Amino acid sequence: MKQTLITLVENKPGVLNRISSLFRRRNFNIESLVVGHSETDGVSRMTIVANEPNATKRGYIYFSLLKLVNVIAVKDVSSLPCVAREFILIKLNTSPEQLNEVNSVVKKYGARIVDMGNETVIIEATDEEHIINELIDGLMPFKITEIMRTGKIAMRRGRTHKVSSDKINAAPDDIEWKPEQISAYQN
Amino acid sequence: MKQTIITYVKDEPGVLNRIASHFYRLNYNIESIAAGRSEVRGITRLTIVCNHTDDYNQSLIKNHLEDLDTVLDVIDISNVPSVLREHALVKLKPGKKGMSLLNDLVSEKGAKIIDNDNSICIVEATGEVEEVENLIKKLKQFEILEIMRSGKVAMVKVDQDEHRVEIEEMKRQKGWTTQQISDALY
Repeated sequence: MKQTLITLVENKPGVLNRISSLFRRRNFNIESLVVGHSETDGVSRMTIVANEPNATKRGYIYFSLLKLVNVIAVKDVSSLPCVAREFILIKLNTSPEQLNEVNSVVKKYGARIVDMGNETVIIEATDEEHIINELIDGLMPFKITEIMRTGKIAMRRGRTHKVSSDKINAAPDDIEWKPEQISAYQN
Repeated sequence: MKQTIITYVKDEPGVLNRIASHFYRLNYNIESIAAGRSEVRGITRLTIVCNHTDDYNQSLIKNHLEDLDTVLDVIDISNVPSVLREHALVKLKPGKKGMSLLNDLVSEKGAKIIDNDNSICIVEATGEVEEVENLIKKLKQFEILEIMRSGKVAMVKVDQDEHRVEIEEMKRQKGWTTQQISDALY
């Protein structure tokens, strides 16, 4: 089962290294990882997708991430209602006669043409993963020369409580997690 | 000036760790990193953005990346005209009065409202990095709850592609890497 984790981390050198070596050490494969700025300065937000069939190990990933010093908050959103989107750039080789066909495929999937030359087109699309896959299949008849795809970025639906500043300052080791606290935090 | 690098790597466990520890060892801060599948199966494409003004450090980063075992190709596109896009999700609470204002703003900027749950909206925006930044600035008038931005995603512009045939030939005949070719051309 795929596990999607939203993680808030400090924006410092070596943070990505810590997280990736955690996954390396425990031999979990990262399916995708996206890092970007968040609403707070100095805090980056990551969406990590891991592929781990064992439920105990999935919990283990969650708690070992939480223990890292630079990690401010972790949220497992695998089974929660959330929006998960992907972004893709595709470069195509087309002849001018094929341009109409390309256009109809692009319109059908709500994609956009970003840049156009004599024989090449760059297309941009954002959507859920399976629709992006369909778009690539639809463009297969034309000559695809390059694809750049980001991983999933996820956000929960509805109101969720903000991470308070005490949580940012609290060292993870000082917090004794009781089972009911953990479940409250996860919901 | 910001340095933008496109890197092709093998899709194996531990690759990201190697790249991350490489940057950590040299004590460079990665501004953003975006990884995803490329057009070839088993090869992942990374777009890395670093913040370094000085040429020496830039070439150092590039050369060290090339030395890594799992890295197949490194292309520095800081000086090549390229499409540099970003993807962002913003969760906000417009309130009853702000809804129509939000709708106008979103349609004007070419963004989309992809979710509306009890008047808490999730807005999706894509565009050039400055466009996304401007939109987020304008959205600040509403109550912003969360922002998730993907890293910058880059692809060399179409107009620069007229040399493609030439490039393929160079690759075949001389066994050059893409970076050597782009050095030669631009």
